[in-house]
Amino acid sequence: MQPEEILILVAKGDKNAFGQLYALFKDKVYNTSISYLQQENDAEEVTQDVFVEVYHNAGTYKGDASVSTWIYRITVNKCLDRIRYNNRQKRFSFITSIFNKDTGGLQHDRPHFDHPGVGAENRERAAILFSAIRQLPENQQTAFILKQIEGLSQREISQIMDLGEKAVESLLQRAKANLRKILSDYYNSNEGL
Amino acid sequence: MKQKDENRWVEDVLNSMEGVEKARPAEDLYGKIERRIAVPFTKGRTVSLTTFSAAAASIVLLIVLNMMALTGNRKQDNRKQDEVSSVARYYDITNESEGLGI
Repeated sequence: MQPEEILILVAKGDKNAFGQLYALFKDKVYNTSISYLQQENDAEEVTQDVFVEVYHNAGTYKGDASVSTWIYRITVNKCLDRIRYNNRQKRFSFITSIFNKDTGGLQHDRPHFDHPGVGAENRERAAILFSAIRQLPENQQTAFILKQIEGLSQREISQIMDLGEKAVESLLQRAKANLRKILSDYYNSNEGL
Repeated sequence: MKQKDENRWVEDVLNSMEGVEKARPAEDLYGKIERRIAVPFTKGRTVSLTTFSAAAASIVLLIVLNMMALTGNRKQDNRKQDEVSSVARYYDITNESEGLGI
């Protein structure tokens, strides 16, 4: 059965169809979420939020894009919302730490992140890459994660981000240029590693 | 040479996610989602009873304070009018004789 047909059944409240849809997309949603949020707990919560929204809004799917694109769009939006929420929390905890030293200050800073799919030989380099990705503007992060980590085509990314393919290409070029600069600075500040 | 090493290192880091396996969610995640969708769906955010009570109390307080301010003003106006009337009576000034509109 095609995802579009499964989604029609989900819209009618078919729990089995929802289970099939979850099985088809759980890894994509979770992998995208963990690449953005770089925390397993946050990625799990966002994955839950995405599938709860998919279940309740299956009837609103218009069919103008593939189900995959629709689910990726929901995932990207939820991840960006969570990042903004975390940043607000971080700012708030910074302000409270000024007035109350006992609050511990910047508790919301993300720790060193190891992507669960990365092998031991690449773990350190991937952690440095994720730390650099965090410093990119939102739309460059999205383009880079969807292309380099999710392995989507530029066409799919353009549909998810609702941009032209040229715009996505330009975003990817800028993301890579910025990452090269961030990584060069890191290399030099660590004296050639 | 140093520049070459740096460039190679940067490219290695940039490509460190190539061919990496997808991260998989925990087995029990579907159960958590099922429990969440079993709860009747309400559009928008649910507000706790405490928040709702605090909001209701604030609104009542605001209305009471406004009413107090209004009645206080009215009493003050009446008092002012009484004072003006007393002065008018003292000097025997009336609407008809002086046209002061008192």
